[in-house]
Amino acid sequence: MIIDTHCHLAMGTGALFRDMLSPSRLRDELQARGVEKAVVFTADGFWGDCRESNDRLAEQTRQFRDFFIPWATVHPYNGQAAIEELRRSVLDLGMRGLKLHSWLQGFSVSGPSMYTMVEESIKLNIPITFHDGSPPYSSSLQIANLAKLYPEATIILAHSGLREMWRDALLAAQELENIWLGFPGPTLAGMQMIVDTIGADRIIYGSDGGVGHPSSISYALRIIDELRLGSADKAKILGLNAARLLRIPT
Amino acid sequence: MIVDGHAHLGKGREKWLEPAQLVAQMDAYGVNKAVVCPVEEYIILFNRDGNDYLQKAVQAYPDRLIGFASVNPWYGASATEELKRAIGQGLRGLKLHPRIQGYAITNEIVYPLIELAAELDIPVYCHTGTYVCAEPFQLAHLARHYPEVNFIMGHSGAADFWNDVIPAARSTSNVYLETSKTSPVTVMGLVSQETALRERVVFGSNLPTSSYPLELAKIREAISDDELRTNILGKNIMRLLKASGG
Repeated sequence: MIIDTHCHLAMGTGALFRDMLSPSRLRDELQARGVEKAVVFTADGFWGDCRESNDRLAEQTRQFRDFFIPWATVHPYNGQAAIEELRRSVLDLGMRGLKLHSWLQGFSVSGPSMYTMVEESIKLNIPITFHDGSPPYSSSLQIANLAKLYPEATIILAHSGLREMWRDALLAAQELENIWLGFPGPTLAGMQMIVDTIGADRIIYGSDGGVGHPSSISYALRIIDELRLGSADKAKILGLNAARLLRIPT
Repeated sequence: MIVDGHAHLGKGREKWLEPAQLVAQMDAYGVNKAVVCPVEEYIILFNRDGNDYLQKAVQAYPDRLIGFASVNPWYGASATEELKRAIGQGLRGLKLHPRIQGYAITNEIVYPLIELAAELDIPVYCHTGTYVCAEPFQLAHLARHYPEVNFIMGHSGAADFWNDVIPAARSTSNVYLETSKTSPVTVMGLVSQETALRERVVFGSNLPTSSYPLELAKIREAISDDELRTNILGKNIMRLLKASGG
């Protein structure tokens, strides 16, 4: 079972991300590559009105509800309104997690507004995926501190530190059991060192599909295939871990 | 003809690839030539050992390997001497790695080496993608300062500088863009019609931190036009090497 834990759909503003795939095209391209379910976030909805963005994502995925698992985004600096919006997204719209992109959204994760947000995620029993690997707002250890402050929270470092900070992401995952790492992200050699060090149990596959040409999805799957790992561990990374995390029956 | 514009040879902290292993990989995946540079501590500290190792590898496989020497600019006059010596021994370019060597690429400590590269007529490969010290616009600034030297922007600013890489390259006429560590979507952007950078994109594998199946598939899937793909997979880097005294 392949579960892609990291895809994007656009509101259609055309800003920043061009050539975004439509919901039906993204589903078709993922299914053609053997993917059975996909977690989707907004792309151009990280800025502007998060409520509108969450509504739009819910609407875009409604007709594919067996396939897409939409996650909300909010802006922590909006304080109580952001908390309300997260609650609405989970409880009314049926969203299953929170995606934050502190680099793109422009907020610091080190402060009370973020802490309140993590506390709410614990109450709602949802994981938070962060873009990571990008200073000054999305360094892997900045985000990992939230997992240290809140052991009951589930914190996903979406890109395992990307190409330049994966050693930090690995240190975070070694120290903290409630950190999960998204693959791909680092170099192939970096990912190999991560699985050789901490094993495969907290690694989840996510392609970043939907942003641009679907060859990025093939590329991401090929990276997992290239890892020197047994098939049981690859199956965990490609879907079984995500199923456990998201309580999806396998 | 397929030419790998960036691979490493030697045994470092986490990278380890012997010449015979690389050539076997090249044979297995139809790669004719590879530009190789030293690994890690040989880039940072033991420059002469690293360059000698490359020189022997090139001697063993003269038709397959093209060596780029590495020297650390912090060694000052010893660095320029070592670069001169290594090029005299048959290496063909300079590799700089600001993050692990410890400076920003815009810093004046690199100037003597770039001036020597101009004199020796060799290209300069520079790692990019690291905040503060190896960003695309920082390399572009250096490249505008030395228009007579050809630079290769290692990894095209991946992962995070995908917004900057095209405008940075366009602000110069002497910066080539190497594809390892980038996503297929970034590669598509680099060669899109309007950017006029098609002649300057060069395929690189970053072996041993990636693999030929992965890196070649990325280029083949991202670029459907045969001529363009042929240029990126080899012709562009060979033209660059030829233009630089080779």
